[in-house]
Amino acid sequence: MSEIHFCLLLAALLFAIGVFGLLTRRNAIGILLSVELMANAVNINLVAFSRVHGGATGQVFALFAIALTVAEVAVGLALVILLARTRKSIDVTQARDMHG
Amino acid sequence: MSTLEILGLSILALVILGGALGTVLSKNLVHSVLYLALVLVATAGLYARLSAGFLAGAQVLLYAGGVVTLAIFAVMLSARMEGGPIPNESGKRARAALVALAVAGLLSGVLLQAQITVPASVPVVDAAEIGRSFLGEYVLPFEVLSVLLVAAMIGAIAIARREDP
Amino acid sequence: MAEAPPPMNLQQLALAIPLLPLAAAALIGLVRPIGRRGGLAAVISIAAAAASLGCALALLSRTAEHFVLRVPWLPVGGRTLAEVGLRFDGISAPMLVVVGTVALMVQIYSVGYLSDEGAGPRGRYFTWQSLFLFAMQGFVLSPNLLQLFCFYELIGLCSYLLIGYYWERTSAGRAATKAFWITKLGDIGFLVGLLVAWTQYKSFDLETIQHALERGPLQSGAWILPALLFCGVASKSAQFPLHVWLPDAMEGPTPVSALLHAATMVAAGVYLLVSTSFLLAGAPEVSTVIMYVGAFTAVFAAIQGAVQHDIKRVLAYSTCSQLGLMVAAIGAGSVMAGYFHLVTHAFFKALLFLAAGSAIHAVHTNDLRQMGGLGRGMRWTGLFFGVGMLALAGIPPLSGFFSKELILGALEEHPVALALGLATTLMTPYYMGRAFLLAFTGKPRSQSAEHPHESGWLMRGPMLVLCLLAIVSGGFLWSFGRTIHEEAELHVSPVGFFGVGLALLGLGLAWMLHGPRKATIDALPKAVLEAARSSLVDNLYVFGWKHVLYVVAVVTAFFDRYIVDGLMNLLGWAGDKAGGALRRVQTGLAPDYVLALFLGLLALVAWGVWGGS
Repeated sequence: MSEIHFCLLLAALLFAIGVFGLLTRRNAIGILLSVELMANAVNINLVAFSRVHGGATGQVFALFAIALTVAEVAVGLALVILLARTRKSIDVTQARDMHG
Repeated sequence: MSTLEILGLSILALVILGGALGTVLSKNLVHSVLYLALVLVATAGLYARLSAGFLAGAQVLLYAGGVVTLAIFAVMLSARMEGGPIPNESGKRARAALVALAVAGLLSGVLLQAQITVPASVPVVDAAEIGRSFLGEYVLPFEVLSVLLVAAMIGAIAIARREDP
Repeated sequence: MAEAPPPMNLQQLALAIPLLPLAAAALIGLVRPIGRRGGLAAVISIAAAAASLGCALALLSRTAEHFVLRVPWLPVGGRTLAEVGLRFDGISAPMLVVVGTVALMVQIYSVGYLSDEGAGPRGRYFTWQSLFLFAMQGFVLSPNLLQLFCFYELIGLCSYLLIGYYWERTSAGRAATKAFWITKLGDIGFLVGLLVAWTQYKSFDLETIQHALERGPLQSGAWILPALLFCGVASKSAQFPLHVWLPDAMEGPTPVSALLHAATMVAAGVYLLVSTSFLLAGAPEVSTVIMYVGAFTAVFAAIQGAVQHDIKRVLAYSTCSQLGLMVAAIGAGSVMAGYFHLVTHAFFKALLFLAAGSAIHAVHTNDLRQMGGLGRGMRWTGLFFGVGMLALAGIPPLSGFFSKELILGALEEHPVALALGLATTLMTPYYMGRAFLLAFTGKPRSQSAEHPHESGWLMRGPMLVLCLLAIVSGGFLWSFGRTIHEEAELHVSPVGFFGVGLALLGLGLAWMLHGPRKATIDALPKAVLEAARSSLVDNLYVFGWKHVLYVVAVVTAFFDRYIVDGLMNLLGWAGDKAGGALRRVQTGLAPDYVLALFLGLLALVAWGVWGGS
């Protein structure tokens, strides 16, 4: 196994941990943090492949991903604050309005 | 790879994975955020190792600096509105673990089968190279991205704004 | 085929015969302003009947140009399942004239008879009368079994409507329903017969079946179809044991009884038998059964007729008895005898009913015990009833003689049936004589019988026409029968003359027992009276209804409610439960939805990587 394989495996495990967090966390910010982990794992993947192929493409996309994630977190946290303001709680298990 | 390199990589990996586990398992929300910061910085180190210097710097600036700060802000504000520290328990771990393991297994399985040849040395991609890409091949996504950032800013303000009585 | 071009197409004439009364029925029935005016309704109906009769008469002389018109109606899988059409030949042509004549006379008579009814009810009456005429003529003209069946049912419906004309009387309603039910019971046999006909011959068309049988008789089961068709015949023509509806059908107005239950509707059964008589050639057992059923019915009904107090019931049982004779003759092999008697019987029985109606109209009762001496004040009616009686008894040279002659001749080879037939020949003049004498001679037995008034010419006219026909039709048909139907065989036999002797004997008996001097009401032995008046057959029907039909109904209801409906309910319940179970997936919790998302993603990726090709 080469260095790249190692990094890719690492990214996979990081992604899996992010998934675990996503499915487990009960408050909204916790979920957002897990999403961060997953995005980070993707970035690692991109950079690793950029190393393999040469060229800037992978890194450029990683930068794009970072920028997007930042924007997403910003809006997400704004929503969290709104949620906290209106419902006095950011527990996602409390928001059951879509209960069938 | 030399032993030093292997060691270095292993340490980085351990830090990253350990920090990630800390993020998802910690009982204190602030601790979770800080663990995330650790993960992000360690990842920057990994980028550096992978000859992505500029990216490593951007990672630290944007992620570890911006995002983590934002997260801390949000935690404090929500705690204030909730009237106390935010509970950070997790539920339903078993099935989540199963799914996570399945994901990990699937991805690793695919990965380990793949044949990836790594050239011995590649031209270093520096900031100039990235800049040329942004203004050359990827100029359109770049411009769109700036629009997106403005939209995100405005959106965040609009969402979180306190309604005037 | 080159002749002088006819003034109107044959087909058009034939079509006009049933369609004119149908138009009249539609006009009177559907156009409210016409139906409300009784007089106008009567005029339209009678005009249509007269025009229809005119067409029938015009066609009568041209039976040599017989034709069958077939119009495909229900195409199924490339073949035609059902056709609609006309059959004009030596069998249908005379029947058309007979039906048309009697119907027209009855309708004219009805105007007088129902003069004290309201305008609305009269409109209703003539609607049904015209509709019935359409149904009957259509029936006569039907070339295939399916069309015969359809018109058969329509005739039954009109019978129901007309019997129940006085619907304010519960007895009338019940009689109408009873008639409907019992005839339907026999018609089940007819319906099954339709299925059998299709299975055996792949066609409903009478000519087709006849040709098929001529080419080669069926291997087996040739008896099934005629047997089933005879069920329908027996019900409409009131043969034992399906005769029970006919006496009760007298609840209807007397003109209705004259038309339907003497001359036409009950004759429809016999006509059906005549039309399908070619089926009997290959089924001698069925023929024998038919003959004995007919003969038994003849005697049975004759005895019943001798003990009735209601004059119309006497005539009803008489009709039943005479139909039995017709059926017996056909069963014995002589279709001609049965058909001939059908024609003559139509005339003199209708005459008898109309005369009885005239008497009833004058005395306001049907009961013989309250009549008496009507002949003094109602000479014409008495004359007509007398002529009818003699014709029915079979006294030469009246029409009944010729037809009864033929029937007895047909029964010659079957001693038992012949004996029954001769017994009927004795009983018939007896009960008719009894009825005549008790009604028209002797002393009046009630207030209203003292001063009866003769009926107006609206009622006398038709009776006169029928009287003349009752007198001459026998001789007329005897002489000219061959021009109408090529296969007419008319011959004299000694048994016929023996029959005349019996007839005179019967009349004599009646004179002795019920004549003006003695005037006893019931002369038969007590035991016979009791037996004849018992309602055994009716009780058997009620028993069957209550205990057999009801059980079947319960079982069927159970099946329908719990098995058929149960299956549906099961499906609904299963859907409901499944929905309820599946609903729990929608917890409303975002993490659960994310979990679902990831599971789906895993599945997709796994399939993409290891599944697929």
